Amino acid sequence: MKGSRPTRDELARLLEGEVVATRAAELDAAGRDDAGLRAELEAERALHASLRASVPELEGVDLVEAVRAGLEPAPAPGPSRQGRAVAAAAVALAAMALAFVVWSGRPSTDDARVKGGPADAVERWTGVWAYTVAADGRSAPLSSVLRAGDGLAFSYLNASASPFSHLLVFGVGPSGAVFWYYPAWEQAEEDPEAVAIRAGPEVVSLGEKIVHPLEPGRFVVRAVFATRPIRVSEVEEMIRELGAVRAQDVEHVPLPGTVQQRVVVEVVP
Amino acid sequence: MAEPKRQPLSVVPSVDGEVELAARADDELMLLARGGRAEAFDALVRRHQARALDVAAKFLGSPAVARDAAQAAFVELYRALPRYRANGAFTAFWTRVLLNQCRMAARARGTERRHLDGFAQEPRPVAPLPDERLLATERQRDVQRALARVSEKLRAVVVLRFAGDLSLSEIATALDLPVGTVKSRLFAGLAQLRALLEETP
Repeated sequence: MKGSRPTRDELARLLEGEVVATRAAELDAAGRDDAGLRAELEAERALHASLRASVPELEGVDLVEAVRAGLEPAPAPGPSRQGRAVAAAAVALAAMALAFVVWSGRPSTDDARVKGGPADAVERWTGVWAYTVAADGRSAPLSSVLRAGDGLAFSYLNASASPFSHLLVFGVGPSGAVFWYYPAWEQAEEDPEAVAIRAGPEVVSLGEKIVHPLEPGRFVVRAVFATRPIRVSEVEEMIRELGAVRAQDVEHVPLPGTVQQRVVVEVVP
Repeated sequence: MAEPKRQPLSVVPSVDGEVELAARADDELMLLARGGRAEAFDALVRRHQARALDVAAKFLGSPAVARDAAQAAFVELYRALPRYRANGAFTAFWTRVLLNQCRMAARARGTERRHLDGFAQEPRPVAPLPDERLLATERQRDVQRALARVSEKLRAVVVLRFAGDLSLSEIATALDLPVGTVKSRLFAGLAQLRALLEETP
C-alpha cells in the first residue's frame, strides 16, 4: 500500500463515504491482499451493523393505542417535580425538618456570604443554604458528601440594599448533565424561568425536598441570584458550551449581572 | 401529462382522493391531524415508531424506558400540532421532540450506570435462538452497554446516524450544528465506543 496503514477511524470514515476517492480505491486494493486489513474492516462493518440493528425486545411493538391513551385528558396534575420523591408524607416531613433546621440554626452573617466573591455589601446579605434530607426525613446542612438518594432542600437570604428578583438553583453532574432544583423543569417542551424571590431580612425556606437520581462522583450545586427571569434553556445552552469539566470548575458561569454561589460535593452510593 | 399541482401546505389537504394516508408526506399527515383527522396521526405514529423506538433504546440503554420515551414523544408531537410549520422540515422537528423526551427520560431515570443495570435486567426472549442469532444478539447487547457509556453529545449523533438512519446534514439540521461538527462527533463517538468495547472482557 502506498499510503500509511489505515486506522480504525479511517476505516469508519471509509464506510461512511468520508474518504477521498483515491484513498478509498487504495484501501480497497490493499484489502484484497491484506487479511489483517480485511479483518479490521469487517470488525468496523460489524460495529456499524450492530448500531443499525433493531432492538429485539422492541420488534413489532405498536405504539398507536398507547399514544391514543396518552392523549386522553388527564386529571389536573399536582405540583410534582422531575426526579422528586412524590410521597406527600415525605415532602411534609422534609418541610418540617427543614423548618427546624432553619429555625434552630440560622446561619451567621459570615455563612451568608456568597463564596468566592468580594466581601461587599451585596454578598454579605445574599446567599443560599442547602440541606440534605434523608429518606427518613432527617436533615443536615449539606457537607462535602451527598449520599445518592438523599434529597436536597434550600433556603435563601435576599437582604442586600439592591436585592435580586430571581433565583436559579441547579446542579451539574460529572458528565455535564444539569439537574434542576429551582425552577422545576418537568416537561421537555417547556422553558421555565428562574423563580421569583422575596427581598427582606429573613431567611426564606423554599420548603421542598428534591431528589434527583444522581450518579456517584463530583457534583456541583450552583445558585444564581439574578435581576431578570433567566430561562433554563439559557443556562443549559451555556453549560453545553462550557463542557462538562468547565461547567463544574468555573467559579461563576457567564451570566452577567448575577451573584453566584458554588458548592462542590461528592455523591457517594 | 400535466404535472399535478402541489397543494399549498398551509391548507389542510383533502383525504377524499385516492391517495391513502400511508402514502402521504409527513407534513400532510401533520396538517390532516391538526385538522382533526385522528387516523392521520395514527399513520404518522405507525410510520415512525420502529425507528423512534430504536433511537430511544440506543440513546437510553433500556428498551422498557425507550418505549415510554417514544410514546411520550408522539404525545408531545401531537401537542405540537398547533404550532407546527409544515415547511418540509418534519424530520428535524420530530428528531428534536424525540431527543428531548429521551433526555427527559434519562434525567428522570438517573445515571448511565442505572441505565445499564436496567438494560441488563430486561427479560430475555423465552424461545431459544439459533446460535448465530444469539451471538449477534450478545454482540448487540455489548455494543448497547458500551454505547450507554459514550458521552451524551457524541451518543446522540451516533444513534441518530445509525439507529435513526439520518444523513449527516439531517442530523446537523435537527441538532442545529454545523455538518463538520456532526462529522467530528460521529467519529469521536465511534472511537469512544470502540475503546469501551475493548475494555469489555
